[in-house]
Amino acid sequence: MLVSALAKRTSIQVIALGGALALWNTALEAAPASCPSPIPLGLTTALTGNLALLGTQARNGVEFAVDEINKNGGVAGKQLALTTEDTGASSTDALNAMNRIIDGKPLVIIGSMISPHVFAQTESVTKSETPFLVGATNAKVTAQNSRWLFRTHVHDGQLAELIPTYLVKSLGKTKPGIIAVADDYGLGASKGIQEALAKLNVTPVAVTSYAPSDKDMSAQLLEIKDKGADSLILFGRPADIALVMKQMGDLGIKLTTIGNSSIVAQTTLNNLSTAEADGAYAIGGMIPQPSTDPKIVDWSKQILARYKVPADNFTVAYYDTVYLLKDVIEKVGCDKAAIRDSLAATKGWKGLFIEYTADNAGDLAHTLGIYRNKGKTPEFVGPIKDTAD
Amino acid sequence: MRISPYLALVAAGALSIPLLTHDNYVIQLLNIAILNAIVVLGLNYTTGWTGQINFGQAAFYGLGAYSTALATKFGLPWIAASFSAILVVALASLVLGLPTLRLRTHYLAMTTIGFAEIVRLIIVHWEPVTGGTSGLRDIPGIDLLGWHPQGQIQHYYIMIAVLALAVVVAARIRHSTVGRAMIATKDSEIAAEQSGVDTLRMKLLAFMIGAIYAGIAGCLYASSIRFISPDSFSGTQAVFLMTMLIVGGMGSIPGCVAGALALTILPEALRFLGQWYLVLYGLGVIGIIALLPGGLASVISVRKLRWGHPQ
Repeated sequence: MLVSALAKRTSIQVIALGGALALWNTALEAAPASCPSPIPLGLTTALTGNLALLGTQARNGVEFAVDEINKNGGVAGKQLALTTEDTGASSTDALNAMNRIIDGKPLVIIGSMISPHVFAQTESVTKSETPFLVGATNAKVTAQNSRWLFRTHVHDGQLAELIPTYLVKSLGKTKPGIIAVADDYGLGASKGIQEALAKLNVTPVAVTSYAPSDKDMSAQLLEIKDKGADSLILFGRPADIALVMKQMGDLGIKLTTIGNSSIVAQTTLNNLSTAEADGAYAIGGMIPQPSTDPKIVDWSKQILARYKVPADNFTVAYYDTVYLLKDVIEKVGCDKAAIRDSLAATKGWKGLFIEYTADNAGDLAHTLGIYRNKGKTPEFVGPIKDTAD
Repeated sequence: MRISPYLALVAAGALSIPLLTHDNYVIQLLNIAILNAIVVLGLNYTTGWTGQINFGQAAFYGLGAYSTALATKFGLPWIAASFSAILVVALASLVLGLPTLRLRTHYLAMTTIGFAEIVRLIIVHWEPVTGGTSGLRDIPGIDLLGWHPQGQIQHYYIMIAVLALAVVVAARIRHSTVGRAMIATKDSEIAAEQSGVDTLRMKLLAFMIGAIYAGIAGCLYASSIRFISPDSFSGTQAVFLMTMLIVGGMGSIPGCVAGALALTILPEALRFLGQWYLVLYGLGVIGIIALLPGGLASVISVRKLRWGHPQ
C-alpha cells in the first residue's frame, strides 16, 4: 500500500514536473529575446562634404528620437546607445564607415539617404545579418535581394509616377519641360518621369539637366521656354532648386512648376523672394512646416532649437524609423532575425504623419504629400498614395 | 641584388598584419590604402619624376575600374578583363597624352582636369552601360585561374603582392636610363633635350605607365569592393591623390606608399574626434607640408642617414 502511495505520489510529481517544464518551454518560446544594455544602434550618414546638408537631417531625426526614447525610459527598460559614423561624400568612405559600424556589432543599422552609399554598403550589412533601415531614394535600392534591407522614406520611382500624373490629370498641363540635377537623385527621377509621361501620352518639350556644382541654369531654362513649355518639372537639391527658381524669376519665365520636396524645403524658401517661391508645387515625403497639429509644431520647434536647421522630410522619416524600431524591439526582443521578420510584416504602423506598411521589396513608405507654396509658406494640398499600397 | 634590412622589415610587417588582426574593417581599410598607394606610385611617374601636373589620375583609376566591371559582367574571364582594362587605360592615356603633353605647367593641369570631367560625364550619363550615378553592383570578383579569393585577408595578400610588384617596377625604372631621362625632363626640359633626351617621349611614357598603374588599381578595386560609382573617382579624389603624393614626398617611392597609407588611414584613425576629425586631418596635412617640404620621405631619409645608411 505504501509502495502504491509512493508510486502515485511520484507519478504526480513527474506529471507536475513535466507540466512545469512544458510551461517553462512555452514561456521561453514566447518570450522576446533578451536585449543587451544598452541596446547598440549604428548610423552611417554624410556629416561632411557636399552631401552634409542632407546627411545631417538623418542624424538629427535619429539622434532626437533616440534621446527622447532614452529620456522616457528607453526600450523595454534598456537605453539605446547610438554610434554614428560619417560617410563623407564618397562610396568608398561610406563602405569604410559601415565596416566600422559593423565591427561594433549593433543590433540594427540605419543607413543614409544617399543611394550610392547604400548600394556600396548593402553587401557588407547583408553578410553581417543585421537589419538595415535606410532612407535612400533610388528606387533600385530595395531591389538588391537583401532580406535585411528596409526603406522608410518614399523613393524616386513613386515620385516619378505621381508627379506627372498630378501635373497632367489634376493641373491639366500637357507640355512640360524637365530640368533635373545630374546626379543619382535627379537623373534617375528624370528617366522615370519621362516614362510616366509617355504612359500618359505626353511628350516633354525639352529634357535638360545640370551638374550638381553648376550655378547658371539659364541656358536650360531658356531652352524650355523657347520650346513652348506650359509647365516645368524640377528635380534637385534645395541649394540648386533655389538657384533655378531664382533664375526663372530673373528671366521672367512664369511656368507652373512642380517637383520634389526640395521646392518646399525651408532651406530653399529662405533663399527665395515671395514672388519666386509662390505657386510652385512639390510632391514628396511629408514635411512638418505646414502642419498646425500642436504636437508637430512643438516637435519642429524642438528640432530647430537643438540643431538650428529646420526639420525636413528626411528628419521625419528617420525619426519615425527609430520609433518603429522601438515598437518592434519591444514586441520581438533583440533577435536580429526576429526584428527583420517583424519589419517585413509591418502593417499600418502609425508614424508622425503617415502609416508604414512593408511591401515585398522592403519599402515601408507609400504615402506622399502634395504641397504648394503660398508665397514663402508651403501649404499641404493633400496626401497621395502610390499604387503599391 | 641586396635586400635592404628596412625593406625586409617592412615586408615582414606587412605580411604579418593579418596574423595580428582579423578585423575586417582594418583589413579593408588597408586594402583601400594599398590601392591608393598603387595609384599614387603611378602619379609619381608623371608628377614626381617628369614634373607634369596631372589631375587625370582618378579618371584613369575609374576607367580601369569600369572597364573591368563591364568586361567581367559581360562574361569575359577575370584575367582577360584585367588585361582589356589595362589596354583601355593605356590607349586612353596615349590618345590624351599625344596632343596634350606638348603643353606645359598649368595648361597640362587644366587639360587633365577636362579629361577627368569628360570621363565623369560619360560615366554619369551613359546610364544603360555604366549604371549612371547609381553605379554598378554585383561585379564578379577576382578569379585567378579558378581561385576566387574570399574575405578581406585573401584580397589583402593579392593587393600586397601587386603593390610589391608596382614598387619593384618603379624602382627598376627609376634607376634605369629611362628613369634618369624622366628626372632630367623634370629638372630642365631644354637641358634634357640638349643632352639627347626625347622629352615628349619621356613625358608620354611616364603618363602612360602612370595611367596603367591607376588602371591596375581600378581593376582590383572593382573586383574586390564589387561596387563602383562615379563619386569614388571624382575630381575630389584626384586632388586627394595629389595630396598623398605631396605629403608622401614627390619623386620618392617609399614616400608615395607612406603618403597613401597615411592619408587613407589618418581620417579613419581620427574618427573618435567626431565631426572635428576632418579639421585635425586638414591641420595635420598642412603641418606636414609646412614642416616637411620633402614630405614623409624626408623623415625616412633622415632616419636612414642616422642609422648609417646614407642614400
